[in-house]
Amino acid sequence: MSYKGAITAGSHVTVTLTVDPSASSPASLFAGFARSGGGGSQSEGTVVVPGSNDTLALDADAKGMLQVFVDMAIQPDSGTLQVLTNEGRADEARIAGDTVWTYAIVLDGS
Amino acid sequence: MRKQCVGLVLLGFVLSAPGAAYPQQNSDADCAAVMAEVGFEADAGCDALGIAIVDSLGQPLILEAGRGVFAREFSPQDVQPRIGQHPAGGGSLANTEAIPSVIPVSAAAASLAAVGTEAGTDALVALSLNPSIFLGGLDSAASAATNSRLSDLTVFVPVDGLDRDEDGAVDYLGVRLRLNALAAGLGRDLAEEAASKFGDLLESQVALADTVELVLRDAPDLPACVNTLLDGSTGGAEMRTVCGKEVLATPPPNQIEAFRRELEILRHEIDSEYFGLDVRLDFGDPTLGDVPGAEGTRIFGGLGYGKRFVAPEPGKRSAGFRAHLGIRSVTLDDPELTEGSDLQVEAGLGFEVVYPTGFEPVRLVVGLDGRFGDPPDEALEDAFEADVVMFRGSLSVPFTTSNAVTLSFGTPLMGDVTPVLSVSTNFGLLLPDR
Repeated sequence: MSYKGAITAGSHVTVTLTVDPSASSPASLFAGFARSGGGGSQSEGTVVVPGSNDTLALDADAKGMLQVFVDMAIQPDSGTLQVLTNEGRADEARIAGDTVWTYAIVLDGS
Repeated sequence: MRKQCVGLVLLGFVLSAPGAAYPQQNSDADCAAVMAEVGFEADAGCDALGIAIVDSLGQPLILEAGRGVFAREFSPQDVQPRIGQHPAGGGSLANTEAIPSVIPVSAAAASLAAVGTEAGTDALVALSLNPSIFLGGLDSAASAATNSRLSDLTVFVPVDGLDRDEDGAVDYLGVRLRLNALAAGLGRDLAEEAASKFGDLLESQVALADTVELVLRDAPDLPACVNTLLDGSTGGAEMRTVCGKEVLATPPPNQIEAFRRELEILRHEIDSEYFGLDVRLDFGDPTLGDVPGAEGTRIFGGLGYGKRFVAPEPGKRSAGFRAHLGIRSVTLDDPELTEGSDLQVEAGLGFEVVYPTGFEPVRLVVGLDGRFGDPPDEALEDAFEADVVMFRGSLSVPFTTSNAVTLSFGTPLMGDVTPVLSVSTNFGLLLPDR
């Protein structure tokens, strides 16, 4: 299930992808945050070569949706995906193939 | 995209049953309880439930978009130039572009050209290497996009008769350097644009989630409504009964199609303009025996600029122009010449039409180019190739994703030089795919 849970609005979120050295090709990493009510979005993208890692950072400053998208070259390619917030949330998991993680950005007390 | 988001929200309400007004009857605690029931992380209320439902339904489309769009946009092979991979041939008999551009090959390329002049036929081989792709690397899409468009170095040699005068040296050697100054920002622009379009896609999902949240808060039977939505229902009597309204919670496929089209146009626009340095060194006889006494050293330095006007939708024909201007120094080896140098101005202007195909594009270029100088000996004007205007044309037709056959010709409109006809095949080395 790609829905990972809720993050409090105002959080600083960092997304790190580490691609295994055995992966066949670089992987794409995208992270984006869109505000509810047509408040716009911010998004970042990068490419991570096998055996290395890269980190994207976003400020989830309002109610909305945060999505992380990993596009592996081929389905057996694998790595580790980590999402951290300054509010203390930490998700980390081994992934293989294309992966989507989605978070609801909710107002404090929601 | 903003208009599309508004449209989706409106669509959600248009599908609503008129007059089906219910008081807000479901609290965030109710939604959290249902989230736990259906297996979602239950750490928030109805806003999170709306997002979880839209995410659950939209995820297959996002992954599909990724396979079809993001992967193509960010693999090194797919950020490399979408134009022909031809070694630089400007100023040589094996020129494969009527008006030479300064667009480099993305990694490496070779061409074999059969050349016909009044002196007979010959063959030239050209080998091109893009040093920036090897020195700068492919560690990010931005650097791959930039480095594959920045520069290349080409070496020309005849295939047969390397030393016809038997003096122990190769009769002709040509070296070309192309440097495209517009390459520097291309990779960054491409990466930022693609990430921006990912954000647009997210905005449309949030707009759907906003609509779903409103429906959930008013749903007469919240658990049944959530299950109906998760089953992929797009409306009907059952949804009206349990949700109170009909709501569309899945991003429409045409939105994904629009997204693909935007990125496709972006790729074509990236390669529609070039401006940069064109340096050529020729040692020996570039006419391959056609003009007696033409042996010498030729150095050219100039600038090239080209612009194509790309149609606002992919797969359409585009047209544009190319121009170059530079200075050429010619020094002949003739020992009887005490002052054997000539400084010439070289200029060219041409028009091109490009037809996209599944491989490289088909490219037609026609134009005029000429050289004007003041040779020290009028009798050797032919050897200096001065005061010449040529009408040139070239047609490049691909037969694979990285190979093409090119027919090119040049005929003099002014000056006593030989017409040239060449047929060449190029072999481009593609960057690694996904």
